[in-house]
Amino acid sequence: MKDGLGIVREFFKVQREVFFSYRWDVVSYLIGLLIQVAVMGIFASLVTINANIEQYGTDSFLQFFLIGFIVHNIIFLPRGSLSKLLIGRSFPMLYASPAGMVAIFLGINAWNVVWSLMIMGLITAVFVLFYGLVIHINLGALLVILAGFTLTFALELFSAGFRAATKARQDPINWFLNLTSQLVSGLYFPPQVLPWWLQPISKIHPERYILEMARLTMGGGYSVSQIWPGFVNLALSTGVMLLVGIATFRWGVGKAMQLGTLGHV
Amino acid sequence: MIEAEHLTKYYPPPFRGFFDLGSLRDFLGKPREEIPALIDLSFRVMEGEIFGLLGPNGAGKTTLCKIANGLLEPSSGKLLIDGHDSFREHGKVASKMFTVFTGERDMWGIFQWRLSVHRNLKFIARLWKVPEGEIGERIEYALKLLNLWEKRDEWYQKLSAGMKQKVYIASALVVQPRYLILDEPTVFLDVITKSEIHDAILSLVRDFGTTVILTTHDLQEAEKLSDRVLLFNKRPIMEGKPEEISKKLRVPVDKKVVALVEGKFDCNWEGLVKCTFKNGYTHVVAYLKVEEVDEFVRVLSSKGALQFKVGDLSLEDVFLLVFGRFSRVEKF
Repeated sequence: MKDGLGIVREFFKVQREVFFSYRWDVVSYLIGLLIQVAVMGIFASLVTINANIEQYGTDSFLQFFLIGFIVHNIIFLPRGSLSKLLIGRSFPMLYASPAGMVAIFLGINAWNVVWSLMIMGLITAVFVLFYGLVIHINLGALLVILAGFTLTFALELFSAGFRAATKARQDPINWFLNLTSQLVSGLYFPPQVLPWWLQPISKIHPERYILEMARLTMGGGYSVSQIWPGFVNLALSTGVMLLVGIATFRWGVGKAMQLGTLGHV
Repeated sequence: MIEAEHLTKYYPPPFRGFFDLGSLRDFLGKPREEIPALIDLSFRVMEGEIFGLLGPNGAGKTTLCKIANGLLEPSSGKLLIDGHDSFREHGKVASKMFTVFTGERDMWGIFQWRLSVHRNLKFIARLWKVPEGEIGERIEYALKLLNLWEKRDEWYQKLSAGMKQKVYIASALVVQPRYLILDEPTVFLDVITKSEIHDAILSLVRDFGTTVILTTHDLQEAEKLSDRVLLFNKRPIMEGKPEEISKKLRVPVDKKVVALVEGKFDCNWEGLVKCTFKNGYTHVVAYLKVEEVDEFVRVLSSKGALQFKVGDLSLEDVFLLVFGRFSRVEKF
């Protein structure tokens, strides 16, 4: 355990050093972020939408949009986390090292996760301070975010197994998830305003329900008991997807070990 | 001790996508045909020994390295490291081993391009759990031995290809493993860099008692470094002292000449010469003694040869000549 934590810490330090070695890139990124946050806030304040926005637990489109944006970015953090390790150039040496694979996986993603959470915290603070965003942090909100995060990780397991086995350069699962989440999950606008022929896709998209529950808990201050039936469905779907993801991942890695394709695409 | 017991690996055919139904069937079920990479390979490496695995390109050298590191499942047989199966019990042997994968750019992914040489080595040391108090001392020793001490604060990306490979070897010196596997460690490198790397390998064995498996297709390298050599090309061919193997592989020629001649060229030359006429050009491949080369080149020039390449024999050439594949392809 102590060894594992040491490995995670070492990866974290190395990646932080590499990240800040791109000084100009970091400065440009922060400037870009500042502009993006300002524009998003202004855009969200100006838009009015006649879709009975209160039913989502949010008072305004600003609150609807910004909570969706924050939650979407947090729950999508596991995307690519495993495939980038498994098919990366460094995998053969990392696997050959005495460090455990769990520690390596956590370590290789540690800096990215911490940095992204810091940025999301900063964005949230800007929205709260300058745009009047009201958010409730309660157990319900935390559980919904945790379930969404786990569900994305389960899909990532599935995707990484598939890519390890087939040597696929593209990631069709994440590609589909990303595209559809922007269009049909209710990230930018309520899914009810979608045309009838997109409604079925929206209804099977898990992010729709995650965002709905997140807005109710974070925006409307709903408790766990008030979102319980929906949350149970989400938790069950996450559990099933996790089992499928683990099975696919194990199959994919096993196949790659027969084919000798681990570590390069 | 490292011991290979009837190690065999057949690769399934490569997966060509979901729209190729034959390939999909092979991928999901039992493949109709498989590609042999290693067939019934057995050997034993004793403690503190440098064991050379000598084979031409495609002989199965990298396959063996992948099996040793638990990255590839053998079809049958096993590779035992201190009695542990390298594939199934990889976790039990990982701390005793260090592998320098083949010297291609892709394999340097472990090193961070925008960190200094020193910082990269420190990272490797921590990954291999080198005691914290010894890391600085070991890095200094490794970098000085490989003439990289002056470069310790340079970003890794600024180093030349040869220097990058030396950093890779330096990491083995920092880790000081009990077993070191070197997969063609000096391929593509110049003579001076090769020599520095050879000295570093010998120092590891001499000073720390490291046992080394060296895969190479360079006969001279195997001869210089190895205590024993196994010559193989998918299957084992012969095992023995380097000088014995070298003797068996002696051929009566020294140089290879490759040329392209416009029009038809009559291969009327005493010796190992092959001519192939295609698209209005004759491709000439000749194996010659040193003293024959100038005369041969003069004759080709007089016949209007467009390109020449004169070089030393590779192990592939020696294999071709010794095991008769050249003569099977072409009658002289």
